[in-house]
Amino acid sequence: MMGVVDKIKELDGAKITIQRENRIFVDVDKDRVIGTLYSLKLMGFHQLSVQNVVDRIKDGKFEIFYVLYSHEYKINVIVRTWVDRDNPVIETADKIYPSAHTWEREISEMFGIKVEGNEDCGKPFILENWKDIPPMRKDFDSVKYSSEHFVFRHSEGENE
Amino acid sequence: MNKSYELFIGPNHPGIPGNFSLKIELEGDTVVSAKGDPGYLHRAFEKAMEGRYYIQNLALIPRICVPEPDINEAAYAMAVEDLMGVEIPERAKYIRTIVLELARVANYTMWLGGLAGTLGLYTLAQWSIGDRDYALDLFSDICGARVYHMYIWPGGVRRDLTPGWEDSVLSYIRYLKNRLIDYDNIFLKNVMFKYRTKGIAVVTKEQAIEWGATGPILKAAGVAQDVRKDDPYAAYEYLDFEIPTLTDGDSWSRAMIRRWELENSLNMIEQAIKKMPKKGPVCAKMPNPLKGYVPEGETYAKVESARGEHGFYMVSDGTGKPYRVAVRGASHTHMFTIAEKVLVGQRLADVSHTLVSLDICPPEIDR
Repeated sequence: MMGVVDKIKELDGAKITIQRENRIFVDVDKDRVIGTLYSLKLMGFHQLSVQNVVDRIKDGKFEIFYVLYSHEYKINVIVRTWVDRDNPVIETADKIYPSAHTWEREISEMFGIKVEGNEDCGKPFILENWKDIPPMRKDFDSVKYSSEHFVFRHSEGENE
Repeated sequence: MNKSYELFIGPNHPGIPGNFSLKIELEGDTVVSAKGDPGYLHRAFEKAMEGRYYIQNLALIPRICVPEPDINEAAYAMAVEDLMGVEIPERAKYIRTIVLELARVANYTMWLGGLAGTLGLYTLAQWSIGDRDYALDLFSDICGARVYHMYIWPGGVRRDLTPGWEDSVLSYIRYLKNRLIDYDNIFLKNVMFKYRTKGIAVVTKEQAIEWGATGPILKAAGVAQDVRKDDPYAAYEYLDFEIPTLTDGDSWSRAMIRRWELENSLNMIEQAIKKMPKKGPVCAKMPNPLKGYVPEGETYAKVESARGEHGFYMVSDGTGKPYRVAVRGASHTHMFTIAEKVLVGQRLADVSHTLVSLDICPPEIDR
């Protein structure tokens, strides 16, 4: 009988890296990511532990990752895909994993990624009246932002 | 006439578990919709970590969960060790286990007080939070800090246990095991507790799996999943323990699971102290923290917190500072995917204890 790892290896258009026995990376094109997530859910990966983003600014890409877990096989599968920084658009995964809905709201706000199909993306979530570039992007300078928006407070006894 | 009205619970409200807000819409005193409103506690931990050396982040990450900070230290250290290919010494594995379980005990005692408080029984809240303080004293003995310990770090633990510390821990366990009988008698066996929590905020097994629940919520719904068992870290693989499960998935079942887990943790600490090598290094040989570099790569390290799966997704670009660290706290999913749904249909008086029953920890959302 075919094991789950063999089934993962047969996913269409996926590059598989087995980091260790229970950590498998599955890299796919962004057009295939929803199909891959759906296939993995059917295989028994019912839990989306975390969905988030790595800003690969030197490559001009955002890396979007989904950490999945199977209660049955006790394996974590990490699905990764990449989108252009200039036009970062992904499709929502909340129809497959309900918890993706809020993770997508967060990455939409923190990285400025447009999530098609998630009606709450674009609405204020954690930030309030934010007018700068999305703060988790690598080109957002938090020190500069602080110095421009907040008054520096000297500690007692410190030289001016 | 408008039948429904909106009510804000938090960020300053005795029934909200931390700096977090909940907007609920009510008809009479029945909740018709609930929306979590985060952001009051955001300190940009993930962004701040990118600008600091790996070792400097240890002062930052415990603050991601106030009642149980050690899970952050452990998951962070495990991620760094994974990227560096470091195996920690045996004694360090046991010390980590003892510290993590003690932190779980401190969390559950505080949680019990919170639950009792939201149901109007403040006596237990006074007792259990007082008993948590004795656990904090034990942390202070080994690292000098009561709340944020910065004790577990990459390679093992920061320093060895102080002489006689194990005896103090065993003495505390004996005390707390007796104390649990008092907790049961005044609260968990109390008919009013049962009346207020039975059948409230039910999460079925199918819902728990579909919504991505972990920890006590999943166990109370009948799924025996626990990172300590399924993907053992520290010294858990050497310990004998059961994963408690119940089937009703209600507020009462979640409380019972935590009560059971609390006793399990005390037994695990006893076992770990007994089995721990009495001598040996407590930290692997690591490079100079300010000059050492972590090899390029990506990994996901996870531990079992008192609320469920707690993980760190770490990306290294081969320099002395992490390129990206994403934190996965169980409360993120438990608040927005579960609480917002199960609160609908509840009475206003049950909102606070439902939030405590789901153990929503706001810093895990505002990271």
